[in-house]
Amino acid sequence: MAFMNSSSPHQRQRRTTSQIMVMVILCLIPGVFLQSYFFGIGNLLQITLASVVALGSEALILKLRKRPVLRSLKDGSALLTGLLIAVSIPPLSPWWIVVIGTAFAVIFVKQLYGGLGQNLFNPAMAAYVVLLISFPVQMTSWIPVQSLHPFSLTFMDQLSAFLSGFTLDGYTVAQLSVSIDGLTMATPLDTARNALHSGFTITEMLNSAEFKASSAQAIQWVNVGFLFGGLILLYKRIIQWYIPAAFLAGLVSFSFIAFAYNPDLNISPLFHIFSGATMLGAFFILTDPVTAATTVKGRIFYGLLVALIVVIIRNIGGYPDAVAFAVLLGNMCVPLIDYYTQPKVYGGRA
Amino acid sequence: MTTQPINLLSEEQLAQISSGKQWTFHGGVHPQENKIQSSGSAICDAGIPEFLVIGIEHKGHSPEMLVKVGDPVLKGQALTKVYGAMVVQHASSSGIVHAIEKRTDLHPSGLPVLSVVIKTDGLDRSIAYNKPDNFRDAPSVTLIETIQHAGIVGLGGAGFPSHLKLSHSDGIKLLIINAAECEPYITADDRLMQEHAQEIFQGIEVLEHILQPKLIVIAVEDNKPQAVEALQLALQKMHLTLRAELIIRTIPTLYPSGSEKQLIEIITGRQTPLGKHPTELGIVMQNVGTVFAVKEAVVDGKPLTSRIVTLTGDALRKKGNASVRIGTPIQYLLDKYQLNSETAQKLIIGGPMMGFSISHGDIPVTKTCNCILAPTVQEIPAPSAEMSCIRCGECAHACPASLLPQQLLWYSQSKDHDKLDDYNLSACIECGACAFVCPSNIPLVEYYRVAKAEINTAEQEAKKAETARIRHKNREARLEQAKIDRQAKHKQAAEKRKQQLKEKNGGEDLIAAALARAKAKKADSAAGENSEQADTPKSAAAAAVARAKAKKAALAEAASESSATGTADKPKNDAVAAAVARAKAKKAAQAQQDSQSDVAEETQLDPKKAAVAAAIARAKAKKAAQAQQDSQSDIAEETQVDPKKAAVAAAVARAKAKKAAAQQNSETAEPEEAPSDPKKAAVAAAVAKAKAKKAASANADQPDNSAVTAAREKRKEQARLHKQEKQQLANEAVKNSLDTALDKNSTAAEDRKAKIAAAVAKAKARQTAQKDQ
Repeated sequence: MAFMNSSSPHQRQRRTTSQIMVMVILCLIPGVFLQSYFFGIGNLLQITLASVVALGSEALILKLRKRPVLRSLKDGSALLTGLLIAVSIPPLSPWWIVVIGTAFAVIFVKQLYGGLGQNLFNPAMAAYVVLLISFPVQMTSWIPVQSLHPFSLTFMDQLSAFLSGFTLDGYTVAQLSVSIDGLTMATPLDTARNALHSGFTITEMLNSAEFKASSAQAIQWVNVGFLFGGLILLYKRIIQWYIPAAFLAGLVSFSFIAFAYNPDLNISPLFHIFSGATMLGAFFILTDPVTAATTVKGRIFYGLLVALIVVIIRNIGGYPDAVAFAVLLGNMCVPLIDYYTQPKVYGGRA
Repeated sequence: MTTQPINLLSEEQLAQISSGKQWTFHGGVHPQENKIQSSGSAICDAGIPEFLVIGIEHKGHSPEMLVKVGDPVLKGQALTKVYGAMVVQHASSSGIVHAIEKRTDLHPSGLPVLSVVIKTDGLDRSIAYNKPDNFRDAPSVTLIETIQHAGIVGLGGAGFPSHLKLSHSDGIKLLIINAAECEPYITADDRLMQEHAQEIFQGIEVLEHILQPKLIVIAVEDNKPQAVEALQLALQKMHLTLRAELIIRTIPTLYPSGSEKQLIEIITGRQTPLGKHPTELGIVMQNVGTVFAVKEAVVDGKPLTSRIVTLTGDALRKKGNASVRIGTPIQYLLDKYQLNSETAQKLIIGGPMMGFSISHGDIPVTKTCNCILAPTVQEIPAPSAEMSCIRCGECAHACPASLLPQQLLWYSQSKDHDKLDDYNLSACIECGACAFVCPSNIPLVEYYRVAKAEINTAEQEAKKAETARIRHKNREARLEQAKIDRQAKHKQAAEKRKQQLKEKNGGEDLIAAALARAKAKKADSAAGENSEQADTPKSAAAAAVARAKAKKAALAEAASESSATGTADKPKNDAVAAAVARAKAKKAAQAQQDSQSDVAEETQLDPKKAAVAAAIARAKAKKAAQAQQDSQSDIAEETQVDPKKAAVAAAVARAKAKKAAAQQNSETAEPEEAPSDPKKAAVAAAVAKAKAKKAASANADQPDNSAVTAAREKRKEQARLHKQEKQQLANEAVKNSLDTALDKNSTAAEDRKAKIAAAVAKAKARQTAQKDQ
């Protein structure tokens, strides 16, 4: 009888790319849950729409590129991209924001470069940056945590705001961003930056009514949620520790240097690591294997580099959060980093 | 393979090793072991198949045979002589040599190799093994030779001839016995250690005697506790006379710890430098199965005729280890171990990590076949579709050689050989760890194998081109040198001749003298004959003719008693006639010269065209000859009685000659027959001659043989033309390339050539006629 021929190794580890993607998606759940707990189910609406758009645009482009559609959709990478965009944008931003962002990420950042594994930039972060620059108002309209809402928002209110920009009672999202005491809401990082720009010290800022009314605590909790998910990824060996560890360590060290130099004008390391997209970035964005460095030394260097850029932009720059910009800048350096951090081959010279 | 002392293991390192320190290598994977299926049952004899197929060819080299078809052979009988570094192959059972032919080899390529097919008689009679005396008294060279003659190669799977590993025994510090057996499923070494621990130690003693190491380490993975136990037990029982220290080292189970380089790193913490052998570090490694074979060869005098093969996989109803005669068809073993043909999907030779698949069972077991794995689809599913690399870096994490597999993948796909070299593709041991962990199912190792083969081919081609270039350069230089030498030689010879002549003539230069004489003479003649300014003999002849004409004219003039004006005119007339004659002679000479240079020119041009020209020339010549004959027959008519007969004879001769010529012409197309052509022509000529003679003798009273002469002349003419044609044909191949270049000019040249040829022929004919007259 004739037997089948195949090349060695015949035995394989049973973990596929799809499984990795699914695991990453599952590990996002704690963070996403806390986000919707504090900010309402707006983010779930965003996630739903982003998933549909991501899969749809991926399928469309694969069809145009004459690639196997179903097999590529199954790898889950498009879904993950959509998800990451959805959790990055304000929960009640209008629907077209997420549509534009996701379509841009999948079509322009990923597929136009050749699809999975070929893109130079992290699709979610590139899309985030495009949205932030194009629609700054919508992208910075973070509503206060639900407990501080002057109005209680029902599911239908949020759905309506998501779809039409107005709640059922006719309030705009901008109006919703105004908290009880009539102060405009912003993210903690935003508040800090504004305070510093207006000549306050960090201590004054932390004690201000504005800051207390901000969603600082909620965002810290969301970060904890993402940290938890990230630890599961590490435990499951879906990601390796080099990048998150280097990034967080870098963030702490670099911000500490600035903080130690002038604690009045620089936010503390602790504030850094539990604000904004720090944990989401450390475990879910920076570790995107396609756009990160691949060597061990390279990954550590990449994590440190992104951390440095984040600290610089947060402390000095003009944007509220810096992870997206820092990741894109880091992505650009990846080929260079990889080239200069090749490991010593067995029996080779160091 | 010079051993540099700088790389050798130091005493401190040896002390560290013996103190129990262990190191680890980068990467590695943990595939499912699947060893219990076959490790439980004892080694049994696989039996004697009807036919044994023993491959004797290696990489295209075939050693000299010691048997021929029909010879009876006994088990252990050598089939081949020692050939280079190749080991001797032996009959693995008794029977007769059934055939010596090409059979499929147990190799991924599936190529056929020259094999000896033995039809067994089932008696398994063996030759009388001559047990050598105590090997400790024998020099190591003799033992190494014994090992080569016993046909021992590395039985771990690579099949490297063992005697080669042992022959660089200077400064060996450490002997490692590789019993790691890290490939899943395989338990051949495990069972061997459990059952033949004592023999293994005897084999180690032999190797110790050959290599004289300071330390011996037996490395066993910790998933074989029974084997370790058996070894320790045997070690206690044995009265070893080893001078070196012997350690049984249990190493953690991690694929590929059984790879030579990785095991060296585990045991010593050192890495074999890239492109070097472990002897560089003072290390020799032998597989435990090889050690057993060495014991059998050196202590018992038995050559290697069988090996232990693990038969496993869920598609086999029976599983276990068997002592299999080399050359046993795999199908025989599959039948014996009850292959379930419904669940069997593929046959893997070796383990699932590095083994290769074969497409049918009609292939013999070789010395490197340590496992036959017949997995079901559930056990080892078919490889799923390859997806895009997501650069996860798992491969780099798993690589035991610390390579960057994904970079290697890109450059393999883009065939960037320089980059592949930069990223050290050659350091890849093809263990398959990268492909094992790849979540995108990329068959990385396959890409590397292809890339390696491509690089190999490219290198060979480059080498070939380089050799050709050097050869060409050398040839040019040689030719140039030869030319210079020749010139020098000629010059020397000329000098010598000159010198000799000078000596002979008492120091006078004869040539110079002769030249001087000739000059003087010329000056004289120039002075003497003013009217004769021509320099060639032909023009001289023409001048003579002119002179004669002038004389005649003068005579005529004298006879007719011309007037004063007539006499005044006479010298003028004479001068004109002389000038005309001179011009004619010059022209003729030029024509001849042209025709001569034309021969050379013609050979460079299209032979077909030349042939046409020649044909025209021939026709002209014929015509000329005919005309001449006619004139001759005219003369004959005037003087002789029977001119008609002579004319007939001439015609017959002409026809014959023509026929002969035609024959020759038709045969020139075949170069092989060319040499026979002159012969035929000669025969034809002879025949013609004879005919002509006959014709001549028929008119006995006619002494004129002008017809015969004419025929002969014509044949000569034809033969000459034919010869020319043949020369052209011979040059044809070389000139073909020139043809295209010359094509443009050829039409113009052709016309001219034909004309010239015709002129030549005409001139020749005229000459002949003149001669005849």
